[in-house]
Amino acid sequence: MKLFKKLVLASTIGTYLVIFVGGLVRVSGAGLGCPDWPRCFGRWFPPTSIDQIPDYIDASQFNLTLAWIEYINRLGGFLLGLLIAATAVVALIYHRKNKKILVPSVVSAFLVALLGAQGAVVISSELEPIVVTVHLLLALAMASLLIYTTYQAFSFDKERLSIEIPKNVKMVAHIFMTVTLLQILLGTHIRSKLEMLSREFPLLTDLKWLGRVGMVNHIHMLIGVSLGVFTLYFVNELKHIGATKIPGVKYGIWGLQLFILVQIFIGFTFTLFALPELGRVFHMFFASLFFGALVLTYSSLKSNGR
Amino acid sequence: MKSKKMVGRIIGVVVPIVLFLIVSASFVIYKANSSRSDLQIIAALPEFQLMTQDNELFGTKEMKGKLNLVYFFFSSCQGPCPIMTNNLVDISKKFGENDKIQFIGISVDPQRDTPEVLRAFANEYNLKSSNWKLLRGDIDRIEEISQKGFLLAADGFPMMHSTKVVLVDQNGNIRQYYDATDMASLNIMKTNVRELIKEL
Repeated sequence: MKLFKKLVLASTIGTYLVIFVGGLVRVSGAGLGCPDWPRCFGRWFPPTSIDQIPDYIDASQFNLTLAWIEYINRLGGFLLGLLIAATAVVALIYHRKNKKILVPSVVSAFLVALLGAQGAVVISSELEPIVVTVHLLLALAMASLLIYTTYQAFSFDKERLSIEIPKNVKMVAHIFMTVTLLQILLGTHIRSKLEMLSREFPLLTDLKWLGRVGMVNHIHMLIGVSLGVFTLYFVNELKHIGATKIPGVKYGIWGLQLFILVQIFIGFTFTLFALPELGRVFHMFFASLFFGALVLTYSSLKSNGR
Repeated sequence: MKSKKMVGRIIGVVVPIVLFLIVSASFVIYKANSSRSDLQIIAALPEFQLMTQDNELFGTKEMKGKLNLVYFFFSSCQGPCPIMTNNLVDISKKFGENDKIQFIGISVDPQRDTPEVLRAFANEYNLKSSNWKLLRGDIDRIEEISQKGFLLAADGFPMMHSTKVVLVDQNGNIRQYYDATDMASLNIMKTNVRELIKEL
């Protein structure tokens, strides 16, 4: 179990790092830094000069910096794929009887392969918003599975608690998960719209682009504030029923509170400094972390609750 | 006591990671943004002067101080020209009223593209004469400007003209070429213009 614990924890941390780099690629506009896939300008390493661009690719698309940003993202994804595959292999060899570890490990390996293949569609679609959103959702699904597997691995030899969970807390947990996922989807929709507007109307300011996004932006802000209130209520309820005795819940709610605070702070920087690019990267990253903390809380509650 | 130690340990790990992520992300974003305006000077445009659709003199002198998107076309062309013009008209609308950018079409068929024909062409595409200049001149001179000035092939005019758009900066330097029939290439042009216009 020691080897599996190390591998699955590294896979989970690695997934979040790749999600962070992916967000950075998106915000820095390097998504098409390599216009082909899996190679970059027909090469396994990005070209170093314009003379190395093959004839069938328009040379004006070559930007060394953007090519390397996208290349590092792909390289990170590839290394993560190897790590998750190794985790699945160890699960298959040593934990075949433990379905709660085996199934999510193997499904994660399939998901990481699917993500890699879907990366090709992202490039060939020239960053079609819906395709990019699916890419992020697949990554979130994989991160959730890995968090669940990590939790199962680390609580494998621990005694399960049997805490009575009232119906209303169960219902709140379900609503919380659904609303958070919806909020992330809304966020990706707004981001896609902003990217489309910045491409279409390159000389407008960031705030003017935001103004053109319309009502959906206000709904996103409203849900964001509601999630903050919801977090406080949820955490309070969990403390009230004594669920914080479960280590997964304890760390989960710690993360939920921290990440929602960071998100509120980033939200303020958006209004004060007109959507700073750095803020956009961290906004998406902390939304993913928030969802991860929710998955950890939820799966720990399920495993230890009645 | 134990949990305080744990929190301390977590903060000791998380804070340096977050700081590292902030610094590296800022660096990457800065490098990505500066790389878009980091277009090398390909060549300096030699002096030339042609006539606009409104019979006014227009040349390198009028191009100074603005970003110029130059392409070669002819009004009766049934090949790539309508696509090129439509793409550029669409982009000029998206740029909005901006007196720092001008679109310049140079006719490679000056015999048929008289000032009247060019004016009709401008009307057909709804091109505003303030930021759209359709130029004509002696065909030998146009060939010379295309080959020696814009470094584009000019064999077999009018049919065989280039489909490139040339980005000429405020100092009369060629900074980049884009394929006017390819939206991916034109999208890069838009981001390059967005960065270069900050220098004006």
